[in-house]
Amino acid sequence: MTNGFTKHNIDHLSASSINLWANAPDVWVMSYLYGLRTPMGPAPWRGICVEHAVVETLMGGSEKDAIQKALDKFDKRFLVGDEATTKERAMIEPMVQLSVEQLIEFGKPEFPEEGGQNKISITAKGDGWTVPVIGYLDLVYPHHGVVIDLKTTGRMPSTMSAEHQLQRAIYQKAKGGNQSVKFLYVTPKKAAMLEDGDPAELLAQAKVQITRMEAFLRTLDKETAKAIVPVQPNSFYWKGNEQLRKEFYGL
Amino acid sequence: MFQLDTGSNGASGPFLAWSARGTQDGTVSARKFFIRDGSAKTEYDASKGFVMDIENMKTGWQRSEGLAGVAPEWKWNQTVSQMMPSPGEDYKKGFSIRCATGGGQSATWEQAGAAAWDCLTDLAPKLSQQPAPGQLPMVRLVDARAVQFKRGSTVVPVLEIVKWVDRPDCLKDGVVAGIAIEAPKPAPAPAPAPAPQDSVVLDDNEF
Repeated sequence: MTNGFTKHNIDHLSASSINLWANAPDVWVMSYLYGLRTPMGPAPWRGICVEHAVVETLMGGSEKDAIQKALDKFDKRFLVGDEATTKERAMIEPMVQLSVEQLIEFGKPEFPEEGGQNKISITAKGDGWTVPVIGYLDLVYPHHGVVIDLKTTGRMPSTMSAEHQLQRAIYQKAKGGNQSVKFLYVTPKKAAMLEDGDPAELLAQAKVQITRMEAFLRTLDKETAKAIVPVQPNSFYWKGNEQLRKEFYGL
Repeated sequence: MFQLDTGSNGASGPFLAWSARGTQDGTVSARKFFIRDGSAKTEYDASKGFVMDIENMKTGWQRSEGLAGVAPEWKWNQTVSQMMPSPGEDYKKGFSIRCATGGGQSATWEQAGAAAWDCLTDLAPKLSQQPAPGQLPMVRLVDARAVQFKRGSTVVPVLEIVKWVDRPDCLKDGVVAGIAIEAPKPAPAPAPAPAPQDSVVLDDNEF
């Protein structure tokens, strides 16, 4: 019998996919069964711009030039600035500076020889199905035995969110006991390294979610999934994509 | 011939504008673009397409007394990528874009308010895909989207990019024009319960 992932041509999962499935199955169905991804908003794009600038600086580039490139990259994406994009844009420079300040002691991070990011993959295995769960590591420091994921945010959390904890658990599982995985949270004013959550416990919980996902996929075709999945119009995940939701779900 | 119609920022007419509800004088219907040239207003068929000079557009805040003959006050952003804080409660976000409206003619689409602003920001992600410097988007009106606010409502024009074109001659005089250069199926059977975890043999990188 074809398992649910094979049936829907889903050849891997990720922390974000599992989190989205658990938090917003309506958005998940649209994104992963119909391939309609919600456009990236200014906050996550700011995070990408900051990360690029931080890596460039840590690898020996000029911080000033890296920040300018980050701003240009942001501007190219958000051609017409509004209050929200302007607010996010203003965070780029201090976030880059604070991140570099925190990370400079680790030296140069290591990247694959062929370029790109360090990819990790673990496998979720159930009754009659297996599915890789992949991820990409931001900053790997083998000599220090540490992997650091950079998270930019407007407000410093006291504890990592459940979603980030799962992401960290996946990375930690992939790296085994040789390297610890930490998340560096950076606001425009503060930075803090966090490593919350028990990876084994989190992965056990994730496996329950993945098992349910497989059963859902095995049982339903995508049209039925779209027709019956509960739609939560007020969900945070629809913010900025209300029109897409109305077009897709009529709600 | 263009009739010089200078606003507070020195932009030149004629002016292109969207009318969500039609003009008060009845010369323009609801959900139509129109061109204002001096005191004359003419409906403009935007479904045929017009070219937007996005390389020289400006964004900012506008305050209008709503009085005929009194030019609105504009406070322009230093760059389109950044929006300055609102100068006051009675200011609305807006923009100024020189447009080639066909037949070698141009007009300045200079308008504030939710309908015009949402139209531009809806289009912005596609505008940022400019294939090469100097290429400008030819857009056309394809729809009008009703938007309901807590108080009031409006109708937002929906534009789509038809193609990218070289800068038309009528948009090559930016400085002269006063524009800055720069059905559900039956429910399936319940899914089977997950197998007990200990029935699966796991390796080191499995869970």
